[in-house]
Amino acid sequence: MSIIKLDAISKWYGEVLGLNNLTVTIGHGITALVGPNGAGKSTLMGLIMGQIKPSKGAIQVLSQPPWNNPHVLSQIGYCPEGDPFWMNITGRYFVRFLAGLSGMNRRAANLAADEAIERTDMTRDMNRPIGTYSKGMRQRIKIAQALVHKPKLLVLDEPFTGADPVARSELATLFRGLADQVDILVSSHVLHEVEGMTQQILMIARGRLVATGDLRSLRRQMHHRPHIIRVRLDHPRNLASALSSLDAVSGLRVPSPDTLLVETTQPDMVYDRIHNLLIAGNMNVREIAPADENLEAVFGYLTDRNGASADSSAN
Amino acid sequence: MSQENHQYQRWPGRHKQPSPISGLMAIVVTGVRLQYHRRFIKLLLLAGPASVIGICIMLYVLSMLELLAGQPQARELYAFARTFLGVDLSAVSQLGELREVIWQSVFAFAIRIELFVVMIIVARIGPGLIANDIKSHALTIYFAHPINAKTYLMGKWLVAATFIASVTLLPNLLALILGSMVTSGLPSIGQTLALGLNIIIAALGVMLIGGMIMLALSSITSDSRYVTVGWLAVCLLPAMAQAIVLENIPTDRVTGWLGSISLMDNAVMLTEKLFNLREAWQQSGIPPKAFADALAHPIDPFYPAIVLGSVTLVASAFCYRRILTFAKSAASA
Repeated sequence: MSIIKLDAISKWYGEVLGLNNLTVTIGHGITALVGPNGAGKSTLMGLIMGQIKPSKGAIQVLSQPPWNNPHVLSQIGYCPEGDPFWMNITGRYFVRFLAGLSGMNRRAANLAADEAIERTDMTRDMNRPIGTYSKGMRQRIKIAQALVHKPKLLVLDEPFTGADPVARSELATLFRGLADQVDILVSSHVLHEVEGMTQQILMIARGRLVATGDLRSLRRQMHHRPHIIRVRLDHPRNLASALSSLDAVSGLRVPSPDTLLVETTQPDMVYDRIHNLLIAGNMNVREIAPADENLEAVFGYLTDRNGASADSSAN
Repeated sequence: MSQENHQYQRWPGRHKQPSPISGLMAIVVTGVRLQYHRRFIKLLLLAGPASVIGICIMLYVLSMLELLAGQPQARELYAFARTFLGVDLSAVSQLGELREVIWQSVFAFAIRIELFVVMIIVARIGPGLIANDIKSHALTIYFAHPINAKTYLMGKWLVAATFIASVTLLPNLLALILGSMVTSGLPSIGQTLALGLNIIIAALGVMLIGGMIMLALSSITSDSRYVTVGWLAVCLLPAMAQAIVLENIPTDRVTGWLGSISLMDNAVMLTEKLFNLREAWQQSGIPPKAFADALAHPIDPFYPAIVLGSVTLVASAFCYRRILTFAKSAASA
């Protein structure tokens, strides 16, 4: 079942195109919406949140159009990018207020606020003014307000912006934990931020959908871009010599005494071959993993390719 | 390709249709509580009880005059009435017949003073109502909840209206009730109810006009200091302009739009028309000096009503449009 369904969605701001004929289906779990600044992420989130009306096309969130639909909004938790706080109020008061906005009475709002704050591990600091919170704590309290009305879908707009590495790691852990209970759509313009959280990527650039799917499938879209496989084992040179005869292997490197990097344009075939060689040679292997499957590399490649094809079609 | 291959445990809860009233109440209660914690606001709100006490004292004194009319003990009470109402009640033999108009005058006089308190209290609580939400990008989070721009605007207006009511409507109604209890009250329940209704209408008008103008100003900028300056300018500059006009043009020629520049004066004129002071005092034959300006010539409610109504309507429409614009731009930023 799909959580969000966009069918040929376009959005213009005057003559500026925010989104261009976007068709995508987003399912359960954590989905990352990735793209550079100005790609159309916030427009897409605004459409999903029912705050922007599409110029063209149809959008369904939780099986209903979100525009002017309070029932849909009551099932979505939204965590905006900035700090939409009055700094002198406490975190608990903030969450309780937004529980009230969601339609809860005072008693229910109090209970729900305490529960949401506990889920985001902010109970100890909930009675402090928000102005005294660190960036990570502010993100947590924002997530608490988004969770307070028990939404089915959590929409997180650039949740890692400004957070230090420790806070980022904690937030990613929190999101992974929440994913058991609520679907999450998280946006980011920095690819590695979402890398550890999900394999489900939705890439947009210049208002267009660049790619969707998991990292592996995105990788398959890059036929002619070399793929690097990292193999960590006791004697990497033995494996290197066995692989050197393969035409599919375009390069071999041993950056450290226990690591071999294999460069190929046919990763599936090389993966199979490595497995066979390891078994046949009874080699003690500790890891076989893609070395360059970080999102930054994939994104750069895909957006460049998309931009190039768009330019060539324009010409 | 779609992304539907996660092992997922769905949220088991049920979602009820959200109530817009709860959202509205959340905005009002939170807005009022946040403002109420400010020390200066608490101090200004003391104007409410002060107004109750003042009105009750005046009503009590006037009722005592009825009892002591013509007696030597009443001399100081006559002086008191002269000071506050500018009318020599010692010349009136049957003071009881004037009780209704005296009560109306007392409340009209109180409202006139309360307008200045309203100007100050709105200047303190109003500027940040929308401006702070714009500044902190909170509109995005408001409209991510099941409330719309109308509910938001209504909620913010109710915050301002609550404070205005606490220095106009509530003290005046309380004073009417207490005044009726500590004195012999108005001759009939009908007259008391009519006075109560006038008080409610006047206060609602002040709440609507003051609240909406302030919200419109607050929606212009994210810096609440400019809003305060704008509000004071809206309240004071037209009044100053009108004062200059009245200084330089004979009073009998100051009619129509020329006499309706000042929002404050328009509010006062409409209040006095609502309380029907001119006709009532004319019948008594002793127009009080406190209302000399208003009683000098007939009040034409058309121009003040048009000016205040237009300003409030334009302010409401402008504010609504601004909120929609900000909400959209915040969503697509």
